[in-house]
Amino acid sequence: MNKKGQLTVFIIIAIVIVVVLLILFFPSLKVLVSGPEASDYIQECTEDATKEVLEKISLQGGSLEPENYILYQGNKIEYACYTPEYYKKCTMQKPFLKQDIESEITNYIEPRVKQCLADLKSQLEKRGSSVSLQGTEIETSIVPNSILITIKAPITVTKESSASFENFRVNIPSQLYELTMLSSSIANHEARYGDSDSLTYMIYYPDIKVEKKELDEGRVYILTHKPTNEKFMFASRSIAWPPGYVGV
Amino acid sequence: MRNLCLHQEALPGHQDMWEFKMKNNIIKTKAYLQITILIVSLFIFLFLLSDFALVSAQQADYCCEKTDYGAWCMNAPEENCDDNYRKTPTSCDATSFCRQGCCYESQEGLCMENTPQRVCDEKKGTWSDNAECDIAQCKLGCCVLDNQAAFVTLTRCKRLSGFYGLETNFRLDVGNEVACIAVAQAQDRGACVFEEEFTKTCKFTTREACKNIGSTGNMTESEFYKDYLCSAEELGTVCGRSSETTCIEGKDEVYFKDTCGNPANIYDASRQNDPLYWKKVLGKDESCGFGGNNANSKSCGNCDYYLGSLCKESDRLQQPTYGDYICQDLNCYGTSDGKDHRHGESWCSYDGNTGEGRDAVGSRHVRHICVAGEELLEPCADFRQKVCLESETETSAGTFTEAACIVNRWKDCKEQDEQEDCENTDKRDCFWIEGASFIGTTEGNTGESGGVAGVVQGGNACVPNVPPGLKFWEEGESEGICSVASAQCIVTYEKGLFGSKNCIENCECLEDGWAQKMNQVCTSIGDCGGYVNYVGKFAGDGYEWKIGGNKKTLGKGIIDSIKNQAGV
Repeated sequence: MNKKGQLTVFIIIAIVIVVVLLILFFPSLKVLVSGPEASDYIQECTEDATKEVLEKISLQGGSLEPENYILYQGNKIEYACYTPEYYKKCTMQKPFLKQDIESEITNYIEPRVKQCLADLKSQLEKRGSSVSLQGTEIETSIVPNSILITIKAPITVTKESSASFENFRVNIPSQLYELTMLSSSIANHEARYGDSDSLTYMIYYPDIKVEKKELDEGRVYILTHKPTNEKFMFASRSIAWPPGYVGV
Repeated sequence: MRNLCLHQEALPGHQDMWEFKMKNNIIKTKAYLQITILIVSLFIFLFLLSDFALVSAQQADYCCEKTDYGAWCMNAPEENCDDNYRKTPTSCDATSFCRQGCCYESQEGLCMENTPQRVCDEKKGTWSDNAECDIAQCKLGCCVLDNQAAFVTLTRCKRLSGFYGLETNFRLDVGNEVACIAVAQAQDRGACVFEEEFTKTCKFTTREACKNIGSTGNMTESEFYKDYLCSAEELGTVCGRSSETTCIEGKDEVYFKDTCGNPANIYDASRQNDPLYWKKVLGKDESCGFGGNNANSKSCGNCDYYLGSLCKESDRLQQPTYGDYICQDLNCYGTSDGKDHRHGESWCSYDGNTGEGRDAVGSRHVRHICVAGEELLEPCADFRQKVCLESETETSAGTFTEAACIVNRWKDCKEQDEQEDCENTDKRDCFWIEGASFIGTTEGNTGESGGVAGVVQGGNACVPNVPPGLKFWEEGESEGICSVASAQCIVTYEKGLFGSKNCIENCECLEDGWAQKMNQVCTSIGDCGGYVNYVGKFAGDGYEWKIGGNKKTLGKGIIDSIKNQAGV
C-alpha cells in the first residue's frame, strides 16, 4: 500500500473514532446516526429531567423551593401542616400534596423537554428534513406504581415522505403515589389530633417505613418504600410544647 | 446560710455540660433563733411569665393570609404578613378568608381537615365550613376491591376501582373498617371456568368478577364453582398442580400456584402431590402450622403478620422446599436493650434513671419500635416535654410491650399541697418529695415567709416527676424558674465565754445534708441545681452555697450519690 493509501486509512479510522466519541459523550447526537427515533429520544430526555426533579422534591416535602420549612440534615423540608403557636393544632398547608408535586414536576421538566424538542427539530433539519413543531403542553400524573408524563407536541417531519407525532407518553416507575397518599393521611391526622403514630401506619402498610423525628421546630416524617428504597420527607408542627415554663 | 438554686448553663461548644452555683450567706450570732426562708422571686417568675404572655400577644395580633415565610393563614405580627396578600388585625378564626374547614378534593376523593378557605380555593378544592369534614362528600363507606377492601369516600372508591380495573362496589351500610374487611373476606370465591380459544380454562376469583369474565371478548359463558380451586380435576380445565408458589397482595401467606397462574391453597410441602389439597379451598386454620408464625419454615407457608411473619421472596440462605417464597421473620433479635422483641412491639429507653426527679440534664426519652425485623428509634419531644411510657400485656405468645411518647404534665405540680392531688396520675405527672417544702405551700410557713417564694426544710413539696428541660441559653427564663427553689436558713448561735459560740437553732442547716436536700428540690423542678448531664459529668455551677459569706461546695460523697441517683 502506498503512502497515500495509508493516510486515507488513518483518516477514516480517525473519523470513526471521533464519531464514536461524539456519540458516547453527546447522546443527543444519536439522532444524527440512528435516525429520527423521536419517541426514544424524548422519552430519555423526559425521564432524566423527571428523575432529577424527583430526587430534589422528595427530600423537600414536595417543593422545589420550600418557603415555610424546617431544616433537617441540610434539607429544607416544607411543612405540610403548620402552626407557629404552642398548644394548637396545625393548619393544613398542603391539602393536595399529590397535585402540588405534579405541578412542581411539570414546571421543572417543561423547559427541559422543550429544549429537547428544539434539539430534535434542529438535528432533523440538519439531516435535510422539514420539521413542523407546534405548541408544547406537558401534563404530569402521579398514579400507583408510576409517574405518567404526557407531552402534547404535534411534530410533522417531512423529507421524502412525511411522519407525524402527536403525543409522547413517558412512564417512569415510582412509588410516589403511595408515599404522597400516606403523607396526606399523616398530615390529616396531625391536623385533627396534633400527632400521629408511625407504628400504626407501618403495620397497615408493610412495604412502607415511617420514621418520625421530633425536632425543636416541629417533626419530620421520613417515608421509605422498602422494596425500592424510594423516600419522601415532609414536616409538620402541631400541638407543639414549649420548653421550660413558658405559657404556664 | 443561703442556698441559691441557679439554672444550669452549658459550657461553650458543649450543649450538655452543665454547671451549678451555690451562693452565700450570713451567720448571725444573735441570741435569738430564727429561720427565715427566702429568696427567689416568685415575683420575678411571675413577671417573666407576664412578659412572655405580653410578647406572645404582640406576636399574634394579625391574621396574615400569607406570611413572609410562606405559611398560609397564620396569626402573626403585622410585619410578618406578606404585603401581596390580605391581612386583618384579628384572629384567623374570625376572618372569612382564613377560617378553617374541610377541603374536599374531587380527583382522589380526599377530605383534608383544618384547611383554610383561602388555601382550598387556591388549590381548586371545595371548601366546607366543617373543620372535621362531617359532610356528605366525605362520608366513609366500604369499598370492596376484589378480595380486598378500603374504608374510604365514594370518589376515592371509584378512583381505586379504576386503578385496579374493577367495577365500583361501594357500600354505605358498612359502618367501620373492621366490618369492611370482613365483607371483603366473606365474598364467595372459587373457580371460574370458561372456554377461551377452544380451551377450557379457569380463573380463581369472586362470583361477581366471574360474571364479568363471561361477558367479555371471545370467551364462552363462564361458570362459577364456589370454594373450588382451578386445579380441581373434576373441573377438567387445563389448570393443574405445580410446585410454584406466590405471594398475594393483601394476604400474609405463601400460596401454591397452579399451572395457569391461579393461587391455590397455602403452601404445604408435604401436600404438594396430594390431589385433595388441590381440589377445594382450605381455611387458614385447616392448613399447616396454624397458630404459629412459621417464620423461615421450608415446608409451611402459613405466615401470620400479627404473629411476626409475612410472605416474601426467599434468599439464598433460606430456601423453601418448593418455590421461591417463604414466611419472612418480622421479629427483632438482639435489640439495643439486649432483648428480642416481637414485630409491632415498642418500648422505652432513657439516658439513665427516670422519674422521681432523677432525669439527667440533657437527657431525652426514646421510643423504640420493632417492625418487620428492624428496630427503629423515635426520640420523644426534646426538653422532656414528652416522656416515654410503656406497658406490658400478657398474650398467649408471651408478654407484649407497647410504648408511646406522651405529654409530660408537670406544669401544675408546684401548686399541689396534698399528696393525693400531687400523685393523681390521671391529671398530672408529679412526685411528692419529703423533707422540704415550698414557702406558701406548707401550712405554718405562709405567714413567716410573707409571700416570698423559696424552699424550706421540712414538710413536703410536689415537683415534676420528670423535670422539664430548660432553654438555658436564653436569658431570663431559666434563672427565674430555678430561683423558685432557692433557700435561706438563719442559724442562731449563742455567744460563750472567751469568744466562743454555740449553735442553738437550725444547726442542721450547717450540715451537708441540708444542702443535699435543697439541691434535690432544685434539680427536681428543671435543669437547675448541682446535677449530672446525660453523659455522666457533674457540673457545680448550677448552685451557690454560702455559709457566712464563705463559699462551700457539695462534698464528693454527695456528688457520688447524685451520680448514682441519675444512673448515668
